[in-house]
Amino acid sequence: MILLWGLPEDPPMRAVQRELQVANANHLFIDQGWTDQVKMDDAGDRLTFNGRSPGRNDITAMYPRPYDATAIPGLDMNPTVARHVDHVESALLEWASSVDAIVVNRPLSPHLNHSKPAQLHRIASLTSDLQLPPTLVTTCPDAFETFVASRERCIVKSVSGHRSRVRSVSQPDLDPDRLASVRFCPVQVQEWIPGTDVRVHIVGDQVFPTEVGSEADDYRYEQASLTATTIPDRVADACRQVMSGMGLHLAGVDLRRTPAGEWFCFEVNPSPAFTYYQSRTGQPIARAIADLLRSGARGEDGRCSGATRPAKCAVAG
Amino acid sequence: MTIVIVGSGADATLDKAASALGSGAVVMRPADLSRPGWCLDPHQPLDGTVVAGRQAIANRDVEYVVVTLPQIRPAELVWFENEDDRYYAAAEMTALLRYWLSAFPAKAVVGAPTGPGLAGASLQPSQWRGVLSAAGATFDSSGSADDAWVATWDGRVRTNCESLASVARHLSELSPAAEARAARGLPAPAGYLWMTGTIVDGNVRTGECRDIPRLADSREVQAIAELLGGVRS
Repeated sequence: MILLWGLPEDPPMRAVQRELQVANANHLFIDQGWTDQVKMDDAGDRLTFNGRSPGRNDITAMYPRPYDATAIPGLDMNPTVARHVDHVESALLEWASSVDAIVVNRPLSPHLNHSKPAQLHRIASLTSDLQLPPTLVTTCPDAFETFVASRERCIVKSVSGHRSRVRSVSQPDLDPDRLASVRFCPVQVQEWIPGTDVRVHIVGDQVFPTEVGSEADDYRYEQASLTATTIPDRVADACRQVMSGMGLHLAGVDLRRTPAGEWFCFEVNPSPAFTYYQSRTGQPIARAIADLLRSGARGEDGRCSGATRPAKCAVAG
Repeated sequence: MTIVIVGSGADATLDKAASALGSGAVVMRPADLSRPGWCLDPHQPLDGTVVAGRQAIANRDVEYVVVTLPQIRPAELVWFENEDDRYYAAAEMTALLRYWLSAFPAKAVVGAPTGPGLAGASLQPSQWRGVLSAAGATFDSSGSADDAWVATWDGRVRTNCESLASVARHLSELSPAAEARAARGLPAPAGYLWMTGTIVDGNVRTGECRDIPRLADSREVQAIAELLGGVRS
């Protein structure tokens, strides 16, 4: 059985479920809005929901996209319900971490998910075919100023995922009073890389590159044109290598192709909102995810050719 | 040689622990992430500097790190007037420390983050049961609830198995402080450098495992000193 876990309003979840329905695949969708109706045994080995009762060993594949249960409308989180929801969700996270099935994706190590410099460091260790932007994380106003002064253009972005909008460093940022504030909180500054953004979604072995047309520092917040494109095999292999090295079956990799033909990597998203790209390019990403999930029932392990099976996480995160 | 203890600004016991660990030990508190001196290049982590004990320290001079801080709490960052800024700063500081601890080439990080927090694995009681099972423990069948269980080795319930600095990737054997064989075996299956177990039987049917040192306990400080002494030699 394929287990889906998340919210029906979530476009990627909805798209994958629709593909599973079209394929008539055996699946159960755990709607987080009804977590109070889910029964999970004390050992956390078997759940009951919607008239079905799978054990963890019945799961052949899993697509978890859970949201913060405390923020789900309609779920009355009184203390009793909260305790029940915590029990159910802890068990499901544990399933996602360790069940012997294809999980798209297992919880990513938190330092890779919530620390951008940690992720850059990891990417660098996994491939030399993608370049990384020169980066400084600092609380030193002088070091910040020196880094910026020695480059034509720089951008700042958060170290964590909070307020993650990217913006260019401008002259007011170098005003002495503003510069002095760097000391109070770590700031991440990167050399701006000229070129064209390419978002690459990878599903198992399949690669779906999308070219992004935008002049903005951060195209996610502006009007952008999205076009299906192709990337060199060397770059596709590097993306697969990074994804596999992080223990993922699905990833959204943010690349930029420079006018000189270099390929830079900025980030790997382990839980991409791929429908934004799919709806504009027609790339069948949801179908590829559904196919990958269905391959679990056929006893396949969904691995990329030449890649290792994703490592089990020690803990859900 | 420098030992950096990462801990809360509210934990007054850390300075005493640092003294006990030797003249090279300093305490890094959240306030140190609001001081000039942090300079890290993700491409060259060894060349960077960090701030601990109000002073900048070259990354390459830091040999050992002991992490006792599960998270940076916004409430601790009182020098930010705006509450939103406290939350933002706590997230940024946490992300920076996660990076430093994950990329840092120290000889040993005690209490290293392997879970969602800054220290240790942050396992649920049910997950600790899995770790203990892998170490050969069995469980009293009546203690099946997540927050009330009793672990047993060799058919006997172990009581108060404490101060167990232990064997992991870096060490093959430790001092007599690791007194219980079962306890010595605990960290290895999970790859931990440090673990403390308290298993109580009798009227109080409970159990606790930690992989984050509690330096208010002088026995744990002593065990850490022995652990790092073992690494040094």
